[in-house]
Amino acid sequence: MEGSFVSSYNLPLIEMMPTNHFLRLGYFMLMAFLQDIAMAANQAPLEASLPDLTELNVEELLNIDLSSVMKTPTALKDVPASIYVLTSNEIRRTGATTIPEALRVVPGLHVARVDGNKWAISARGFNGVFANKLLVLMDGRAVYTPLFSGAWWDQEDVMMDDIERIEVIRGPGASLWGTNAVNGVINIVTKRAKDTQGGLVSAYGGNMRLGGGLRYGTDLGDDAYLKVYARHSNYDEAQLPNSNADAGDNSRLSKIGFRFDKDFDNAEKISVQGDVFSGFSGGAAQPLPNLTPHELPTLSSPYSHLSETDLSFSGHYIMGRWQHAITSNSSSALRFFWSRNERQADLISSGYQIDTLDLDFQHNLQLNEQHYLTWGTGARLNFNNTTNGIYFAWHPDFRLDEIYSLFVQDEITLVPERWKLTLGAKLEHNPVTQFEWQPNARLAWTPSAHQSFWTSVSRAVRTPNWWEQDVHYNAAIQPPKGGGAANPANPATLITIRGGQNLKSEDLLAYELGWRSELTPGLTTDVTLFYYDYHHISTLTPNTLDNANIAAGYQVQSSSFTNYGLTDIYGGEASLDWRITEDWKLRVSYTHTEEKFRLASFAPALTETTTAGSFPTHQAMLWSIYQLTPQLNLDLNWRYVDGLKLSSQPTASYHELDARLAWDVGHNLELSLIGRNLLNKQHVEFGSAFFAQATAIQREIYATVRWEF
Amino acid sequence: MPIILRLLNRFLLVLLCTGMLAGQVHAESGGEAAVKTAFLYNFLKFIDWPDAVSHQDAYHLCTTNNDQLGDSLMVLANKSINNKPIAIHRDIAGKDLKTCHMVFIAASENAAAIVNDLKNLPIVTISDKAGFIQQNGIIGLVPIDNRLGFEINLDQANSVGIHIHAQLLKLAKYVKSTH
Repeated sequence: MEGSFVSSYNLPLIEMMPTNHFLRLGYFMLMAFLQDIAMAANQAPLEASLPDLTELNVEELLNIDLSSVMKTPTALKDVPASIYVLTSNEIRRTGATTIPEALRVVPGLHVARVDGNKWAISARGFNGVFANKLLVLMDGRAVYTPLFSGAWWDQEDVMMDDIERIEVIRGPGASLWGTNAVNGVINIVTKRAKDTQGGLVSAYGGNMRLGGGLRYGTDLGDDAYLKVYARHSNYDEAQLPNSNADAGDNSRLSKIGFRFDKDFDNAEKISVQGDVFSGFSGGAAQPLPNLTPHELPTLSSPYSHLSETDLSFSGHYIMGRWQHAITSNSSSALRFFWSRNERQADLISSGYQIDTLDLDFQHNLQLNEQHYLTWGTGARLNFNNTTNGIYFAWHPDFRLDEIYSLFVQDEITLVPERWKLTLGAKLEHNPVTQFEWQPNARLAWTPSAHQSFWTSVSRAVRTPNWWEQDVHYNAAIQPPKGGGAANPANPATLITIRGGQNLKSEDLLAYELGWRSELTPGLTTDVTLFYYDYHHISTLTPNTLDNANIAAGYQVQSSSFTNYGLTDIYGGEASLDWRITEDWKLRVSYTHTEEKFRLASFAPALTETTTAGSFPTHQAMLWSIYQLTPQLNLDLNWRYVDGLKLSSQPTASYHELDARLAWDVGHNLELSLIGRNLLNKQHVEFGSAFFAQATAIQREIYATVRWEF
Repeated sequence: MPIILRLLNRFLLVLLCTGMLAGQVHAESGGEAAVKTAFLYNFLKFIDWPDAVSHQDAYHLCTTNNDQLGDSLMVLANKSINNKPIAIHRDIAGKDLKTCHMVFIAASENAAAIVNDLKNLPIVTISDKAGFIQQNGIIGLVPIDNRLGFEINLDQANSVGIHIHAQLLKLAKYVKSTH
């Protein structure tokens, strides 16, 4: 281990944390633990108190994971991690037509819209369109591109009505999910075919968007069910920031898919699902250097031109799952998927095709009263086949990575109903950094049915992605002084970015402390404090100036990816759920995040970070979910997001309000009217990056229709 | 494709090496019973019985033999809904269920026969037996992955004058309704 609580105390930044409370609480927990252990030893057998879940409402009951509550059924409040579950009803009440819009209501997530189709989503720092520390799963399938270790949100678009729930874990999930689950995991779970019988038509239209979907589910008999769906969405272009000019960031997506589920005597289940999609995501114009076909810089003005950053994409996946319940306390699952993603930037003649093949096995086992064991193993192949252009290329243009993994987790009941310890680790082998070891320990204390405390220490890594290893990007030309023609005495400089050699994994040692409590019936709170210590954070280091061609009038300044960053991120998240009446619920959340970035003492001169200041220090949300009458719902969501301090493009803080009025007409028909970003004509949420030019986020009104038949 | 075979080979090797971990299994799950009990409690809240039976002084909740709800069900004994207490009657034989408001039928019992006896009475029948609502049962508890959900046979409820609130219908995984 590279750090510990003790050595961390020497850092000045820790003074800003409530260390005394941290320590006191830890001491308090330890004492309580020893006391409970002593009690348990004295009164064997311990009379387990009866779990009473009647205070939970139906929606909460639907979310109880029976596998995690086999011993102590206390719903989510017993899970020793910052977990948040967005139910299908809540998703509907956000009025979202895309997943990122729905994620805006999740406490502690940083969600920023960059343009009409690009999103920067992360938890606890390191945000960006190419955010690389958040793992996104769809029904357990990683929708992760090894290109930049992140997700393309424009293509991960499903019918919102088809989502059963979205589980969000803030904090490392690497001991179960593997590399990349560093700052968080988002798992999008879609509905089973059996639960989507009959037809559903949903459509939306307004001043910025138009789209809809159709789903039909049928009973094939013999416990077999099938559903098929089709969806099309269209988003209009926005304006450029502080301007009335159209930005060119319009987008569209079409998708068709299916899911087949079959049960055999409740002991075995198979399911096969897949989809095919094709889309276009426009982007605002961005300056590109003027190059000759041989990647040489032009030697006279103009040195750059503007080019739109349009992307077209397509892909498909097919996944099969087999689940087998050996006994009520032991089950295993085998999963296989193949996914293909293609993306082209025609205006710069660059593109890629990535294939992922993945095979996973998992076994859950209630060994005895004390031990609940989960172990699994997996293999993944990533193939990359690229088309290289003069601005943007990959070297090599074909590669294949094999990744093998093995994990074990034991959930240990130390004192029934009171103390639970979870120990787990994942061992993974990848072709770049070879073996990676990601252990994790979590301790949960439930002193009463109404509250619980938990703490964790985990290590997680993010392995170098293809971008950091293989990219060859001609970013800009620095014109000669005066801007005229270049000559040996006054040369033009080509600025390029290259993949790095001998890259290391970024690694994190994370400490978390959480408290969940039901303060009064109907009033619950969830508070987490965290302190993250990262090493080997990705940086860019300039190489020696290449002036071999100075006689021709140009030189080349390249920079390569390195790992000289040391970052500390710390803060807390607090949320309060208040069910005021059966018909009215309020949800308040506040997130505070800070970072300290520094370079390793041995970092070469001019090395710089690319990620500092990518998230708001303060972020707050107030969500009112109100049922006016059994037929009418009125939901309001206000949010405040602090300004971003990205060195290149700081953004201003903003307040925004979303509203939704829905009318349950009867006969399974629902109409709703949704207003987004009602407080400002336009605002900007994030800075630009390569092929992700920020545009204005505008006020928007749309209506939705939903009919089940 | 040889690469696939290689992948499969290594995968199976790891699988074999670790497969020895599987061991002896026991322990009864108290969690599931608590969740089912909480569902029963919530169902009572969101269901209205016809006037003829709603004037009684308590909600009569009955279960058949082998209800598997253990001690969990007893937490309801101290509860009341709309100032009416809940009276719990367990291990009740089929023919004596006709005075209950709500009947929980264990998966081990002959649900079809019990439901057939009760199907013309204003009684909410509930079971975790697979395909329960297809046998004219009113509410089926169904496993969904690791969670518990429920299905409602609205046609059957309507035919005996039982009114199920929209809040509950909305959260059902499936509502059987011909209207």
